[in-house]
Amino acid sequence: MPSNARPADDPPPTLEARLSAEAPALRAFLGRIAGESAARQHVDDLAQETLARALRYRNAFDERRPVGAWLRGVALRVLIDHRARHARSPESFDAELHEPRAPAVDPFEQRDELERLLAPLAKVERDVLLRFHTAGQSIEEIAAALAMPAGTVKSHLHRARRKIAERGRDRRDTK
Amino acid sequence: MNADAFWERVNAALDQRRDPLADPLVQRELEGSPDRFGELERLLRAASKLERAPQPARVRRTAAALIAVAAGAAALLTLRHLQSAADRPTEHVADAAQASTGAADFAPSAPPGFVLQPCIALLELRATFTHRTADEIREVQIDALSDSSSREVHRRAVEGSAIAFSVATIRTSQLQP
Repeated sequence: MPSNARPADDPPPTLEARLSAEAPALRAFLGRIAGESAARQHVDDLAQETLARALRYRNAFDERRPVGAWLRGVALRVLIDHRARHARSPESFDAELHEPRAPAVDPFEQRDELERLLAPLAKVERDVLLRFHTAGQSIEEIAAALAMPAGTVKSHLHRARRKIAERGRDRRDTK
Repeated sequence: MNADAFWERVNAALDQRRDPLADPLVQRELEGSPDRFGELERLLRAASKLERAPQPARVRRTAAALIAVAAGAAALLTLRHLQSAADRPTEHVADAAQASTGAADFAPSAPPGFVLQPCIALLELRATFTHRTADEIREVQIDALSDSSSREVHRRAVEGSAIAFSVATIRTSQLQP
């Protein structure tokens, strides 16, 4: 038996203990994703927020799966949320990390935002995207509604997503 | 993993309505190429906005329901105003009946504060209301299609047989303040 193996009658480590063991790897992961420019304090705060959120949503964790992958997924969500809040109010960077605010829900603002988002898409791409993400239709349902093969629906859907993802990069490049 | 393979992986997760950020391969790729995180972040934020957006069909149904409710409310209010206008000039009818036993056209003055709005939304509305009391029958005919908004017909019974008869036509333009 390997020396680091846990005896059968030992209680399994608690989630808290498993998360603590992952903390250094989590900080390194967040440091790489957040970029070299990210301050150490900032990375530590993000890691703390990630651990706190993981504990808050512990019921969503499947104990049979490795805790590291789950924790990294939570960390990426924390980073996305944090960047979204920071983009809205850069001056309250630290305060909002600990007291997140609900996003603005002005319907007119939302509609404009959506229009801007869908602007670069072809009509069929926009249609497929809205059917899948907004109306919650499956690929097969969309294929039946638009009388096209499921593979074509997927192609339109994937192209639409890629366009949305790369739009900001294009804008940055042209600046 | 090249860019195409990365996006294939992300799309596969989204197609199955799974979180691509929970995919260990996507995580590993992001760790190796952090510049891809910005793009993925943009896509996930967009997807989240799309999921929160009201469904077009639901918007259309809601709008239709709101329009129907608004039209109904407008119709009700207009009818109540017209009925109240029909109730108020009875003194004029009585006076007219005393002055003349024949038919007389008259334009009643609008009660203070009473404003009859043109029924733009009720172009198809035609209705007749009859109000019977012990000594009087009043009919209010409403025709939103014509220039006149309502027509009142008053009949007043005098000792059971003689009839005083008046017709009043209310024009919306005359009732504007």
